[in-house]
Amino acid sequence: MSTVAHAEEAHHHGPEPGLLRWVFTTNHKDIGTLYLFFSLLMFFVGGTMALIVRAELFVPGLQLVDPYFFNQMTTLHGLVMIFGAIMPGFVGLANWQVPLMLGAPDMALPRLNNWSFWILPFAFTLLLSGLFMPGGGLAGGWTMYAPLFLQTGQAFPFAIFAVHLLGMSSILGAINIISTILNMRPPSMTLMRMPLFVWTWFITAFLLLLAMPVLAGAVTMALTDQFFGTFFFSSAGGGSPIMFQHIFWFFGHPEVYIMILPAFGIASQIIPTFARKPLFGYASMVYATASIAFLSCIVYAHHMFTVGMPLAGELYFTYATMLISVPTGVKVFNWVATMWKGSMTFETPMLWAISFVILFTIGGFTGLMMAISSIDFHYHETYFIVAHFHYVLVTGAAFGIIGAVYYWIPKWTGNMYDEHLGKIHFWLSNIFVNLLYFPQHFTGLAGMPRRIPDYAVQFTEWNMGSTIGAFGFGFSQLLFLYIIITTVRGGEKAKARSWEGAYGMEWEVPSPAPYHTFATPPDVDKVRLTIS
Amino acid sequence: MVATHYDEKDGSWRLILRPNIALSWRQTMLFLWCTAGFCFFFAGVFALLGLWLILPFAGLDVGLLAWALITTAQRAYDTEVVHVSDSRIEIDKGRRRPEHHWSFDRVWSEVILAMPGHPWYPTLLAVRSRGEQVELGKFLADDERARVAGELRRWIGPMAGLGGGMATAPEDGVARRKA
Repeated sequence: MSTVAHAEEAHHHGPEPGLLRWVFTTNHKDIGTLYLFFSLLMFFVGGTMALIVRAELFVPGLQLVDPYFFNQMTTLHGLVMIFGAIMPGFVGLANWQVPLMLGAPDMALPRLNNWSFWILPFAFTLLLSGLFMPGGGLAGGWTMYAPLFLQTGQAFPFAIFAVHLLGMSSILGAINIISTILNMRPPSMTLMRMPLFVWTWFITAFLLLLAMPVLAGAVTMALTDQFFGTFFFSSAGGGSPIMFQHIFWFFGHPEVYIMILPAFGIASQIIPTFARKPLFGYASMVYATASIAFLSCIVYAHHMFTVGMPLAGELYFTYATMLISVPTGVKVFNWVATMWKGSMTFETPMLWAISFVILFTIGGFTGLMMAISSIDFHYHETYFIVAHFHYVLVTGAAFGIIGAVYYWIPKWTGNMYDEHLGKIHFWLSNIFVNLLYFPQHFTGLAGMPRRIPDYAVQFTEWNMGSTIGAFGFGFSQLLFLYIIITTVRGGEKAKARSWEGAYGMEWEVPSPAPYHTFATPPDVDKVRLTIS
Repeated sequence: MVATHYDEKDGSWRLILRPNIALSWRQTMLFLWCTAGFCFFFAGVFALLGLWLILPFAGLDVGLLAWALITTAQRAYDTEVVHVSDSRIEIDKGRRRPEHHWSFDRVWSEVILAMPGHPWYPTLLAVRSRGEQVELGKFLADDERARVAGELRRWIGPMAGLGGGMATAPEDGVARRKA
């Protein structure tokens, strides 16, 4: 028997030829790529739905689609963007980067990794197939509030099953990331030496473990209410529709942080690189992230101030929610302090990171306004809320992902992207995204309700601006697609350390990163982990 | 991790190779119990409010996490033992207990430390005898493999046989203790 012969083969083992490589792969880089392309596809699918919504809202009255289809578009836009674009986008980045940044050879459970990706296409096929079923797709909002949710047509059980599959995929991914971070670190890569992106993902994975079973339970109870004669959410049988909201938001608020914490990690990687300074307050960043995650579990009812809760409850959730601004403020000030007196340059990833800090902070401030229960009664169910969460999730989470793609694509492809086109993409996106969402603050404050296909004429001008912004932002992303394709196909060759100020394990391997990296644990002590 | 044991009774050497696992078993269990505590606390509160269907999903969630952590932590028990006596080299590999065994004639064995074709691939350490080769320390870092190769070369091979006795103390830098 010769085990050496096998080992030699393994040392020079590359990707399998052909398309089946992508089906059976257990390589973290391949799976990361699959996640990222899936996320991009869903970004365009969800974006197209958003454009249908915005086209209908260009002027008052019903123009293009009937109200029921409009509701399906708003609902599915939310679900597709959250579960199809943002979350898989971050999981893709984690797949590529967590092992590379730790110095680990792969994820701890590679086959499970393959499985958690391949669940996604089937889940979205089920979810979107509802559009073609009698009764249409989901139309009760992405929150799936019972009992309205139970009025969905034949798509209802398919949607429940799809949500279960999406949850399963997320949990498997989270478990894999936790196992990788806990067990696959090389010697000397202590927890407090890990890059911030890895830290934020570790905490995010923990939140996923906590939140996802609650969502699974909620939709299962909706299913049994519909088909098995239970009354969890029906007051006719002694249940409570409000309880659905409680359990949904117990999942939903940590979910918001699941979608933003990895973006915090990305900003914490990009800003020191282009400011050419070590991250200010590394330890405080870690503790702030953990604090935000903890607080996210105990503030959920600020989403439902208007359902009628005791004054003590209103006060508690107001103060607890406002408390989140403290660790979030720590993060924002640390990013600013990192840039302070740094040798700053403004390559495309840095532009996205700075934009993230500024625009996410705007979203954070409007969130702080909504935390005050007495005035949230005025904002509730208005476009002000829509503006707030899009500033957090588009200019926060999505901008974080886009910035990360520009930052790490030289490592992934071995090619530099076109800097000129990258900057055009940045400026177009930023101008149009503000034209899209900023006016929604005004229409919301003036009382325009969300989730309606028609509105009062006094809101027309701002809505026209929003729609123009939406189309501008949407079509700008075609330029992003073009930049990605051209970078994958060629371009100026990237160095191992693609950015002058980039330090860490991932920049020690060549660009593009070899198919197998860190097959043996590297000596972390010999690697410069920060620019200091 | 590499540990060397010297047996004074028969003058044999034993080299024990284990992979690096970042978290100890105790820490793994602590993390698992804390996570399970959080999940079951919230699921339990909801169950008390009548929403008991969250509990089985929380159980599934924690069960999967336990499986994943235990599976990866089990790798800490992958062990390779090279026992070099006066005339034989015994190699055992396994997880928790010996699962594969090789026995070679000490004089007719050699240690191979193959450099890779490209710097980004790892080196390869093996013991070869009469056409049969066994790779060792695949999970070690390159410099650890080099140190292990250095030690084994003192004990194994034709020169070791001609010298009569066992090699003297191993090189510095390798963890050791006397049995």
